[in-house]
Amino acid sequence: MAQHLVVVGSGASAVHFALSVLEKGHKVTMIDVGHAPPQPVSPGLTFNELKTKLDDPVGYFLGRRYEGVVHADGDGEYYGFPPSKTYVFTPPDDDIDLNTTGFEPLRSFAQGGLAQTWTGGSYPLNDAELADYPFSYKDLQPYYEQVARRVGISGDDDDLSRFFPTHDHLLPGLELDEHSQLLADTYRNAKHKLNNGFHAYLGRSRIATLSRDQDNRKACSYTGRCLWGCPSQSLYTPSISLGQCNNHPNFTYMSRVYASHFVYDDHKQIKHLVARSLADGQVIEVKGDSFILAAGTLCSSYIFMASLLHGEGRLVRLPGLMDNRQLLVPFLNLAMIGKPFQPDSYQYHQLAMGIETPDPKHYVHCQITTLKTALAQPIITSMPLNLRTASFLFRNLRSGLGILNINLHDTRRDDNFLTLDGGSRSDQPRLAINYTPPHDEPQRLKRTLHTVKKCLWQLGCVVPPGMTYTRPMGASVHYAGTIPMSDNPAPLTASPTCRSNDLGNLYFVDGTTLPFLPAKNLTFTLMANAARVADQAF
Amino acid sequence: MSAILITGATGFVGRRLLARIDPASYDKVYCLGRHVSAASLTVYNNDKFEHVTADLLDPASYADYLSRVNTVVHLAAITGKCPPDQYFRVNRDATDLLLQQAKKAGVKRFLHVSTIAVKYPNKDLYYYALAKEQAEYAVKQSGLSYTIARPTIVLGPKSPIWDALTKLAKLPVVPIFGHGQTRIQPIHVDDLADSLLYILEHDLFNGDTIELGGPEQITFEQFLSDIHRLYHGKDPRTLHIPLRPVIALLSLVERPLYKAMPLTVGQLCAFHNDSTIEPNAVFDANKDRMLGIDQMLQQAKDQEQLGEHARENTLDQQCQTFTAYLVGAQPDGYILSKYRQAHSTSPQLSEPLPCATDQAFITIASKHPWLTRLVDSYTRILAPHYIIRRKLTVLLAILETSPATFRYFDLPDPGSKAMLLLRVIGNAFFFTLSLALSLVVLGPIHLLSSLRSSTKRDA
Ligand SMILES: Cc1cc2nc3c(=O)[nH]c(=O)nc-3n(C[C@H](O)[C@H](O)[C@H](O)COP(=O)(O)OP(=O)(O)OC[C@H]3O[C@@H](n4cnc5c(N)ncnc54)[C@H](O)[C@@H]3O)c2cc1C
Ligand code: SF4
Repeated sequence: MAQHLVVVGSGASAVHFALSVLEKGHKVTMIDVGHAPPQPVSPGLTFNELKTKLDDPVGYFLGRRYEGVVHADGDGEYYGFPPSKTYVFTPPDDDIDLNTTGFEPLRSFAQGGLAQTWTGGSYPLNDAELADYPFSYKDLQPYYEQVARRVGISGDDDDLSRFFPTHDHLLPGLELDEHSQLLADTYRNAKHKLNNGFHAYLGRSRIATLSRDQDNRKACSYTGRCLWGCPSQSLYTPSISLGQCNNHPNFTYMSRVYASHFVYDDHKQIKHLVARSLADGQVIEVKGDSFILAAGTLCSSYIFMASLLHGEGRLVRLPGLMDNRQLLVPFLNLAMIGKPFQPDSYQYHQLAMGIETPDPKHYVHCQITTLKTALAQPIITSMPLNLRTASFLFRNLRSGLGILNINLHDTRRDDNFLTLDGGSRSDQPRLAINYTPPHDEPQRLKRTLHTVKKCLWQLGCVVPPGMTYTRPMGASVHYAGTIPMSDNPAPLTASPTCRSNDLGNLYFVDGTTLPFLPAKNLTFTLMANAARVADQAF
Repeated sequence: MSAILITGATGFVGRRLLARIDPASYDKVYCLGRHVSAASLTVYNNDKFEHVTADLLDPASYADYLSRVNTVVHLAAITGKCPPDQYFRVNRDATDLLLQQAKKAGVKRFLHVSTIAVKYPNKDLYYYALAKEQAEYAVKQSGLSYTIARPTIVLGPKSPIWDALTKLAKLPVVPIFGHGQTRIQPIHVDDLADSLLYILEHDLFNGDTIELGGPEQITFEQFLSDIHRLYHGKDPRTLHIPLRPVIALLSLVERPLYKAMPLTVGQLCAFHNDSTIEPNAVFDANKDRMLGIDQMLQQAKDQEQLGEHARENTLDQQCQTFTAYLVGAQPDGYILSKYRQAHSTSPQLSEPLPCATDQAFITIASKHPWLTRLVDSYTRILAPHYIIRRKLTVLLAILETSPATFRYFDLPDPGSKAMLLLRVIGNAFFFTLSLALSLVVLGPIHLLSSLRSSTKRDA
């Protein structure tokens, strides 16, 4: 029987859930804060043409308040979000307060959520990584394939297939830029050493970017504008799927609405969602048969905890928050020095490196981004030299520069948790986030960095001293694990189809239910899992 | 998209607003002013901005432009000293005419910038406020979708009120009219411009009257004492002057003698009416970013010493020297205008104010590209938080995104790898040399002024 489903959020998880249930004939009302993306600027132009053809290129790249400039006394990142992406992180008026310890969270209230700024890395988990999940790769595979068909994922069947299972609907890889090609060629010669000496394997990363036209979207035309927002929708963002939902007769999108909590009856069945209209401040009640939280792990957990607090005065603590620790390792490929750089190429990572570990769950995942288009300023100002010398080095070494981004797995631990606390406001509690890294993390980081540096050396690259950067927890934005799914129907957890064990008609379809966080970027799995829940629960 | 017309665009608030308007949001921005000054033109760094020379009392001079826009921001007004009927002509009659024309032309939204003085209970002799009150009435009756913004005391470079207040506050004995406990809530002109922009961007045209003040309230007496202390380093002696007799007396001579009077009778009204605001959504959304009273006073004093025009020349000179240092070229008009714009809109460049050594380094660095190199080398290692670094960083970002200079960062220097190696050695040598030199030349300056400021603090 067709149901009326109320979905909170319009991010990667929400839209794939919605597309699947709409296909099955259900009715969907989507509640979202939903800041809208700006219109793409001059779609036909490449990165460098923007500088020569726009009326005000500085305004476009740096913003009116020059917020696109990254100051060296800032946070140590190698790029800032451009003005065209600030809508992704703008909080709504009267947002909740946060009280964080050991964690620097990012949240989005945009149409399409955080993945409006993602870099598209899309990797299926294998059986070892799914060991703690209440299903295997075979169960999830059809949904990976369905999502791959919708999104368009390009990559290759290569040495990394030992870590990333291959699935249908994988598009051929994009054209490699010269530097990535050189690394791939060098790997072929150094393969024996890397595989046997360091258990390291190199291959194409899997990216949510079209290498050929698909559904009204164009294949990547190598404009180099990925960070500023792909003007041709070649790089997938969830707002594309939101557009498809909007074309569906059974779909209602309510934006500028801030979900607060659920009201439920004595049988623990939700009666309605309480929300606030951001247009006029009115409180509204949204009714439905089932309610689906897809507001991102932090916001979904908050809404769930706030509901229990309102309903029964129950203050709960959700343990098990996870995020991937990331290390940024800048490198220089000596063989590229003196060559011109390639502005007309795909900007993000095209190669990945996997490091095998004795326990396959501890696999280390690295993405390799060669430097093509990017703003030079953050890199130049991060060098410990005067700007003139740093600019000289940058321009001569530019084509040989790159960054390797190491991702480490994370597990659910009791001392990493979310809860609510008082704060200074009487109307809504604060979200408290507490994170402490595992004790053995420093050794793990050291060991991994050591291996990675040696691998890079084998690939003809050196790592400049002092420039490796350990990103703070929260920076990878792969949040998961606060309401884990399992076969055990314990309170504050979810069933294998991600149904809440506390409130009967509530489902979680974002990162909240993941019981383990492998090193691989999680969004592809979030989308596949959302499609799975849509299929199996409704 | 849409077009917008701004009256008083080259004025005190108008220029700040223009610097903030994103050209991408509008098809055209018509900037009405009585005359074009070279300085005001620098904010039109984009084809979308068009200057329109017009007289608000002569609708024919601007009517045509109204038909091309759907939003009007009405900033033009007389605020200083003038014969009383002049207030009514400009602040009321011109607004009336503008409203009639706007209605005829099909303008949709009207942002009227008024004054907090409209809400003073008794303003019989305060002609400026009376005229503004009547203008507000006309706006409300116009049938257009409108918002009325009522700023409190607006401070900032070239603030009209600043001169009058500092004259009073600098006196050895500061006269306080009335009991001095009247509360004010001054706002920085940039924060006012931000708030107006917020209204435009959020399309807040619901017929509301929105009061706009800064983040802090203070009594008039305390405010004047703070200004006095800023200039003389100590608290002032004050003399309380009963307000009513003074007003009665002055109002007799005001009409014939307005030119000679230091303050108008109307301005004295501010001494016995609170000029604070009712909180509202626009204030709430912007208050965290606003400058506090101390910061405003310090900035006003610094800028007074420098003079606004001199400040722009100084920025141009900085931009020229720094560009020569960074890319070995002269900046074009676009780069100069962007460097200036960054100084009025980027919070990173406006706060905190540079300390004395930082200021000295900025001055030294602007003299010659070689000196810029020394200051850059020194501060990169020993003073990474200095404003001079932010200035160089912003300029670097401007240069790499400007059509004339971006290729400098793209192309490797020609020549073989051996040549490159030689160049690297040369550059490393120069860097080491400039660092060593800067330690010798700038180190003592840094040390001395840190010592001086720490002894000052101890004292
Ligand atoms: C720079 C960057 C790069 C990334 N790169 C990758 C990558 O390469 N690969 C990868 O796998 N992942 C990547 N990620 C992570 C990825 O973006 C997230 O995993 C993904 O966006 C999570 O999707 P979600 O739908 O679960 O939640 P979100 O994206 O957080 O979406 C939440 C949605 O809920 C709405 N919402 C929240 N609270 C409320 C409320 N109270 N009321 C109403 N609506 C609400 C928001 O408006 C939003 O639409 C990256 C992230 C960033 C920031
Ligand atoms: S994916 Fe990137 S390179 Fe490809 S078309 Fe889009 S912006 Fe250009």
